[in-house]
Amino acid sequence: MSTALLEDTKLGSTAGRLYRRQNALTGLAVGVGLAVLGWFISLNTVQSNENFGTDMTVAVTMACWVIGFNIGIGTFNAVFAWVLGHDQSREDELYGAGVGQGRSRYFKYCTDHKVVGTQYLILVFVLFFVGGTLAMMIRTQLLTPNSSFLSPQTYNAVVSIHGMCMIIATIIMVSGPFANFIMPIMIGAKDMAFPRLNAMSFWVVVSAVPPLLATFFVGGVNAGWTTYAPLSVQDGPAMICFAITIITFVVSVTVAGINTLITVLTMRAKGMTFTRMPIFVWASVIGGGLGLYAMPAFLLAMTLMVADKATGTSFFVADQGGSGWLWENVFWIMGHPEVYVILIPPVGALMEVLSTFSRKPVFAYKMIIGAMTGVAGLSIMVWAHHMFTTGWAPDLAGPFMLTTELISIPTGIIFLAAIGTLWRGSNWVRLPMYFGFLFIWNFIVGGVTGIYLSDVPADNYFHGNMFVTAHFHYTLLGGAMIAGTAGLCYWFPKVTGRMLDERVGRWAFWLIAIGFQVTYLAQFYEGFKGMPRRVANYDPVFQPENLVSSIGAYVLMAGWVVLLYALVSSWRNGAIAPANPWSAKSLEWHTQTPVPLENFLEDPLVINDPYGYGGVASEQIHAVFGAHGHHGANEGDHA
Amino acid sequence: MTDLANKTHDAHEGGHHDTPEQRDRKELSALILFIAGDALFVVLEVLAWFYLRALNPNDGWRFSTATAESPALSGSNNPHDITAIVEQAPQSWAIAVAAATLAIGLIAWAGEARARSGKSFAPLLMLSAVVSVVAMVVQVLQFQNLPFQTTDGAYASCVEFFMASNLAHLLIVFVVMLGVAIRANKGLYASNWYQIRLARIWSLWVGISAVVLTSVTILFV
Repeated sequence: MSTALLEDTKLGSTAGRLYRRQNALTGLAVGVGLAVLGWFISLNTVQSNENFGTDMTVAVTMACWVIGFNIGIGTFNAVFAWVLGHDQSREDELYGAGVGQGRSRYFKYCTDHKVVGTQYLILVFVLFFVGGTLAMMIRTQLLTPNSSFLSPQTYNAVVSIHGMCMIIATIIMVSGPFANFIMPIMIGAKDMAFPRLNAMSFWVVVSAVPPLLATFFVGGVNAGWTTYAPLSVQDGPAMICFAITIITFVVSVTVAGINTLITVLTMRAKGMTFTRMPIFVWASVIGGGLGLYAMPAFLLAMTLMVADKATGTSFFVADQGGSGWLWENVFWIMGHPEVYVILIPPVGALMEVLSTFSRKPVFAYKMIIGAMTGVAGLSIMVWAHHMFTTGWAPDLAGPFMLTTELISIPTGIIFLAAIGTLWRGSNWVRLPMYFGFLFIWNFIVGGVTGIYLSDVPADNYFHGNMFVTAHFHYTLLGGAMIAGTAGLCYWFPKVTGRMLDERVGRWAFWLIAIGFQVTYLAQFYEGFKGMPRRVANYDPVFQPENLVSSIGAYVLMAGWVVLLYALVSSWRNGAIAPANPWSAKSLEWHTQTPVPLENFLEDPLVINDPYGYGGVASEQIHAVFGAHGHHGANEGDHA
Repeated sequence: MTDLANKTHDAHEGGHHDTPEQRDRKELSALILFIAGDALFVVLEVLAWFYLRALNPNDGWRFSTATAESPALSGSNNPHDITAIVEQAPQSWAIAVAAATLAIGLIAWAGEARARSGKSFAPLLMLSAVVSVVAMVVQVLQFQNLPFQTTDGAYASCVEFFMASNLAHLLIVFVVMLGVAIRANKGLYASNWYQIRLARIWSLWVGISAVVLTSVTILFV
């Protein structure tokens, strides 16, 4: 290769300026310092208000933490520099991209999209570990009808934070690591459109995590992850921490969504037309766009909540002119699209897996894109199906039932496309494919049970019971998270430069697959029998199913732990991965591993779609590189 | 060292270093998306207004039936009882804030027009930054001159929330206008001024949202 690697560039001692002195520790120090200062000032000014003082103090403290952490890590450096008219030099930019910093760049405000993607991946692991541990506490409590493992209040707090921790983790589990690390390479870009905003989106979400965990130390959130008003308004100051987490998270998702869309719109390689884009890129765009629609509602809901609690406004307090229905509407205007913000990117990742390992083009490519768009469009018109049993607007129950049931059509198209891709393919059943098969099963169970819940009479019975719990775990855990895991196993060699230990990975797969079915099929049965959800104690008539469900949950957790072990051990000591271990066609597999800064030593020219597998099409090349037009489409072919 | 950095940059033209035209395209697209999201937030704010106004739980929109003999909120955790209908917020302050907010965008627009025609434009951008400070001050004065407290029911809540969201808007406008003004004074917009256009678009949007929110508070009490 004639071009020097940017990583080898020697930078001057002043490159990066203030960023040189900033890292996660300075973020922590400034964050804690500002939080203490905010707490002290607030304590001496507004604490005297007996009704709202504590909530206001907590709000100020948590807001100061978030702002302080981001000042300390460097989120606002570029803003201040821009205002003062100081633009970054090329050396500053290279320093910002991590040149010459080794592993320390993973603890800094690094603008390289691959570093940001890796940072997201670690954060997702941490969040899933926290959320999973809380899930085990829930299942342990429910082993017996009158367990005293957790007090009812602690149980509520654990359920609430388990829910929100998992929601945050699943929203970013694919859009964070893979839409950052992989997607720009897939479209032939050298980075995201706004590298600094990219780093910002990560560090902002990091700053959102401590307030969420802090809820346990200030009384716990008792209102569930949906934090329905007026229960949440009457809750303690933990609710403020919870809301600050969400408000901060919204900023991150919004910035990330805009960045994803603009990257795809403006930075595609030559020849990368919309119909040549990999499905995963489409999924990232649709998911990111839907996030932009959903997040303002989340922001409004949580801001109004903070206002009600900390300043005494009455948006949700009925005796002062507010309404719990306002909360439910605004929350679910966000809430249902958010399900597809979670689901669509992993499904896109899964389609890449199915196509690569069945050695067939994605079946009905354009139909899938249309179906994903249809799902996104319909998802903004279904929110009130979450409110069938609340008494809000009964006349609208029929129309919302219809729109909800309509959404099963594009969802079904995606499902059929997945089956069609596998159909008569030369299926190469590696670990990603295992998870792909599991997704297909889980997705159909989750989808079909969703139709029951969209039906008003059936929902009246199922809504408040464990059937709903089982349904959305089949959808989000069994669907989105399993598809995301397929993507993780697929892209692991590219991200880490190591091959994933398949033998241990398959042990993990079987534990996860079996544990998951046992856990949630038992919960469906509990639902049929009428066991209410969100209860710390239950009637002994439900004990057999709960026992089975808890045992299944332990097996499931064991599976995730084994998978985590496989990931960590392979990352440290796994076999060195070739550039293209799967003989895949898309661009990320046709650059070096580890991927160089700015991704390609020679610019790609895309000449075909990335799914030229099978038959005559197997000779089809997705892209050529550099001025000589040579290609690497079959580099690193498996035997 | 710098030479090497430049050489590698030449080989990767269009990476982290974009041309002003490329940056314009990216940043304008991003701004449009951001404004779309912000507009959704404003629309939802307005929906909350109309929803609570129409639903009027416990007559809590403005407590139109409250009297000294039968005060509202008696027994609740409200710091004081309400003994009469909650007064409407003064229109003059609301109109002044909206006008000042809209003026920022219009001044920035004039600055952009002068930049396009090659005339001096930095003073106008500085003026828009100053007006954004004035608008924030007027907004704070409006808070201080409200005839009700935050705790006085849904109408009071909505009015104050609208004002707070406009104040947040104005803060961003101030930072942006201050930035473009300083950069204009430094001559950084000598060859391209796309950032002035972006600042104008943002500040105009903020002006429009202020007018919309103010109109709602005046026309649909």
